[in-house]
Amino acid sequence: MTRDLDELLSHTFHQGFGLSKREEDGFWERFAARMEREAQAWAFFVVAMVRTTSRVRPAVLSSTWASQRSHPAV
Amino acid sequence: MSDFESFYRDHVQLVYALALSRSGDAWQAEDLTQETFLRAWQHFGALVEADPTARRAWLARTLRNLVIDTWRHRSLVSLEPLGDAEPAPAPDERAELRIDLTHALAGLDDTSREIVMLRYLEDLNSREIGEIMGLPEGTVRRRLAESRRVLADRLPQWAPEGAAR
Repeated sequence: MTRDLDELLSHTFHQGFGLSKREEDGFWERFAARMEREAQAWAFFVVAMVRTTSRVRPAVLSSTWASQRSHPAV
Repeated sequence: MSDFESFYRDHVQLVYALALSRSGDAWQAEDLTQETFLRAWQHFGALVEADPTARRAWLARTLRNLVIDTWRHRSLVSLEPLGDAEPAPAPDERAELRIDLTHALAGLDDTSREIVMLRYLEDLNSREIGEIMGLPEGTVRRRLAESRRVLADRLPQWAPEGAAR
């Protein structure tokens, strides 16, 4: 009896909530598009960080240069 | 097909089933599913090294944490009996079945709902469910027996004529 009920519930759950191949493909396509957006956002972040760093670098370099000039190596 | 796509397709039904058991709403369940796989993608290097049970346990745990975060941040409504708030008019048979299943699952607590989804949608046995959820096998069996009774009471309309209860 339990086995009958188990089979019935299994069938009912698969009918109601199971993903067909088409649905699974749709899930994957939407996920792949999202992964791409995330990767682009990450690339944008990295580029922005590089730009920020490259803006900082000349100032750091010039202050290092100035300090070397005021304390020239012997 | 990439390794990650294979991983995704192997596990999407499991994660979606768990998400449905938590949210009860198909759109929200897909969102939770995709968010879980996004985390998996970020940790894929470690996940491919893990054994199949550990992978499934990781996905289940990540989904659970996401649901908790969503409740905290978006005031996600927990699965409740549908009452008068019925969705679209004249739904097809599958939509009707989903509504009835969601209503039936609302009679169970979160843990039992998860157990039921893993049993009847993923076709896992009590030992496998216990490993994924971190529960003793006996606890899974007991909860399954209780849940079966609740579901049988709440889903009689989907039983074929003369089916044993």
